Formats: sequence, C-alpha cells, structure tokens
Amino acid sequence: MNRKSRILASILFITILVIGWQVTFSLFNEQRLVSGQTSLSAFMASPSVVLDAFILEGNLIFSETLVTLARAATGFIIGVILAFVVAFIFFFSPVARILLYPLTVAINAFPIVGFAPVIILIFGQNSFLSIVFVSVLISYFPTLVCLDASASRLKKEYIDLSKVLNLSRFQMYRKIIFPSSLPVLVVTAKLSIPASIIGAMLGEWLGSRQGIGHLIIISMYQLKPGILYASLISVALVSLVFVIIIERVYPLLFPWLKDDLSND
Amino acid sequence: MESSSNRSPELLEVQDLCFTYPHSGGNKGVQDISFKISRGEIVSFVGPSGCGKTTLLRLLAGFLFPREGEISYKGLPIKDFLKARKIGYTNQIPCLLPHRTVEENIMLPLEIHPSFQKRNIKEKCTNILTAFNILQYKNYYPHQLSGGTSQKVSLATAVVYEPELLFLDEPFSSIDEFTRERLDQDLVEVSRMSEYTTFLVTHSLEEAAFVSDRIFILSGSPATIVGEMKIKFSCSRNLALKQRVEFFETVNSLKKIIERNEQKK
Repeated sequence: MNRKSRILASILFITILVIGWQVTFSLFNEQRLVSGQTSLSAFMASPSVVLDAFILEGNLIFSETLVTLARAATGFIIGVILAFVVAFIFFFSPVARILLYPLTVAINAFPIVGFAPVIILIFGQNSFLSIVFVSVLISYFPTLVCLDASASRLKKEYIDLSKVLNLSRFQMYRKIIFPSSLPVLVVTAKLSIPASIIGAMLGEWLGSRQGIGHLIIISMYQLKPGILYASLISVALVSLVFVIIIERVYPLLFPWLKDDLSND
Repeated sequence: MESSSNRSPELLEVQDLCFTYPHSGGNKGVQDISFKISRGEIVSFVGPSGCGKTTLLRLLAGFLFPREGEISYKGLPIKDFLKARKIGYTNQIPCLLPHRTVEENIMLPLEIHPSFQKRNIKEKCTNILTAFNILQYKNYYPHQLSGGTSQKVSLATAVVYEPELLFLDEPFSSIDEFTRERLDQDLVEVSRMSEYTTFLVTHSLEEAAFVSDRIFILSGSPATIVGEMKIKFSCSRNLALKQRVEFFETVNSLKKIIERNEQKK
C-alpha cells in the first residue's frame, strides 16, 4: 500500500469506530431512558457530545491546553538542559558519576504520582514552578540515561582517534561526544515530550486551578464527560503534533542520519 | 621540521620490548622485540592471526605501555614525541566521525593541531583530497561511502597533518582484492612522496611484499620476531610488479619462513 491509501485506510477505520461508538451509545442510552434510569451522558460521552463540547467550550479547552503546553514545554526544555549538564559532569568526573548516578536512578524509582505532592508542598499550590518541576523530573531521566550511555559506550576507534590526536577531555567532548549525542535527543524527545505533558497534567491535577489537568478533574466532578473527553483528545493531539514535527525536522538538523542511497 | 636536517639513519629504536595483558597468564602480548627503523622506511609485520601484531603496533603508537624494554625516537623516549601529535593511525575499521562530511573529517586533525593556521586548512584539505582522488566525495557523509572510499578517507585523515610516523593496522583487510591493490599502490606513492615512516600490520603476504621495504615475521603468542626480510625489486612498485617472477619468489620465500616456524612449534 502506498502512503496515501494507508492514510485513507486509517481514517476510514477511525470513522467506522466513531460511528460504531455513536450508534451503540445511542441505542443503550435510549433503553436506559425508557426504563427510567439516569442518562448515560452523565458518565460517558458520545462522539456528538464531544463535538458539542469542542464547539461550545472550544475556547476554554484551547486556552487550558496552551497553559499546560507552556508548562510542559518549559519542563521539557529545562529537563533536557539539565540532562545535558549532568551527562557532561558525569563524563568529566567519574567520581561524580559514581556518587550521583545511583541517586538519579533512585529519584526516578519514586513513583511520580507520590512525589508530585512533595514538590507541590515545597513550591506551593497553583504555582507555575511546582508544575514545571514535576514535568522536569519526569522528562529529564530518559534523556540523561541515553546521553550517559552514548558517552560511556564510546566506540574503541574513537578512543584511539582521540589518543592519536592527543585530544584533551574537553576537545573529545566537543568534537566527538557532543555532536554524536545530539541525535540521541531525537529519540528521547519522542519519549520525553509526552512524558513532560503527563508530568505537567499530574501537577495540575494536584495543585493548580488552571491547565488541562485541572479542567479534566473539574469536568469529572461536574459530570461533564464531554469536556473531559475533548480535553483528553486535545492534549493527545498536541503531543502527537510535536512527535510528528520532530520526525520531520530532525533529518534537516542532522543530515548525516538521513538514509541516502549509497554513491556506488 | 628539524627532522629533515637531522637525518639520523636510525629514527626509531626498539629494545627488548615486552608486554603482557593483565589476566592473560603471560600468554598474550609481545616478548623480546628489538629492531631499528630508519626514516622513510615502510615496514610490515606479518604473522599468523592472533599472534600479537596489533599489540606490537599499539605499543609503538603509544596506546599501550611496555612492561619492559624501551622505544626511543631520535634518541629520546617516544612518549615525549607522541605528545606532539605527530603520528597517524588507521584501524581495520575506518574511523570517521558520522556527523562530519568527508572534508570535515579530514579537517579534524588540522583543527586541533596547533601548528596549522585556519586559512591553510581548507587548501591543505583540498590537496589531500586530490592526492587520494576523492575530491568528488568531499561533501558526502561517511555512511554514504563505499568501504574502499571510507578507508581512503580514513588514510587521508591519518596523513593530512604530515605525521612523522604512520601506523596502519590491517587497513585494507575488509576491502575487495581489486580495490586493495589500488589502495596499496596509493599508500606506497603517498608514503614515498612525503617520506613517512610507515608501519603496516597485515595478514596478506602479497600486500606486505608489495608495499614494504622491510618485513618482520612474527610468531605468537607472545609475539617474537622470527625472521626479517629486506625487500628490493628491480622495478618500481606498480601493478605490473605483481606479475613478475621476483615478486612471486619473494612472497614464496616469506611463506616458507612462516611455515617453517609453524612446524617448529
């Protein structure tokens, strides 16, 4: 199948699913209403309700998504920079690596759901900082692990090369390790971007009066599944868009990763 | 460099070199190796695989440190010399940085070498690309090159800053016969032209005979020198040489020395 027909096929499949969902929902709900039970739409949303929510509350959902996005993006960027800094320190100081690496792993072993309240207590309810911090915590770890692995498992030939050229540790980092670890960013970004959104939303659940995480919790209490579903879809779309952007942009940034045909 | 005025016949002297890898029980490594090399010589080490040829080369290049014995260069311990970044080294696997183009890869040693001025780098690079006949690949990334071309680039990177000593560890072993013959010829030409003192580890006796002025036959392990052969041909080293009787005779006598040593064991 070519690209076009593959896209068409998946769109068709999703449409069938959505229609199926709508039809079953309506049938069930009708039965419930006839027998005098509460309408299903207090607990679940049908595609038409979600669509309504998008139309009626679109502005709210959009602005709250932006709030979450800003927090997640800040968290992601700080997380990546932090990971680079820590990986850099690890490369230069084996002692620091021995001391800090287990600690880094240990911090990651804390369930973030349990750790987030700790952070929110420290940085305060409804503060930008506490939400960003949760997001940093969740996004920096995969980046650090990948960067550290690429620096410590340097190919033997590159070690030979730096011996031949008598490279200093810093030159080695600048000329060999740093450039070759940039593509790692592509891999970890795919993991870390959705993770940082999760982090931000978790922070918002627990300690914010803004953001998509907050909106989801509110719509749960207010029995508004339409807004809840619409919020989820909007966050998922944002996350997806970012991953697609990365897929598109990295061959331009790192042309040496492009799979060109060999010359002969 | 002052080296051209100071033409001592013995450039590099190795004396009673011993080396063992830790935890190997003294089996691997090299033992009691002594020889003298003069400037501009192309020297090959041949021997059965696993005998310690690479270890010897890595000792000479200063990647490993001998347990006993001494390597001196122009009468001084080689350690001081190695700090001056005046060696070239090529591995079996071409060592090119994937994120740099061919040209940028060749530029790398020049960027780091303190004696090169920025404006000369580009020119120098173009010269070497032309010398190796790879100018058309200058904007390619390593993954876009064939095995032979990458090895050429790797060799160009090793010689671009005119090293005084060139170490080649089975540089062409993974390349097809036809390309290898051409690369061997390139190697001889480049080494002769620039008077590099070259050390080549190879398992191909033909390659050793074609390229070298002198061949050391090693037996392992630990590696010891069991034979030495000076190579002199009546014609220049080109592909026609490989069809001549004297070439076959040289290769055969090399083979005999190795076989005799294998039987002794």
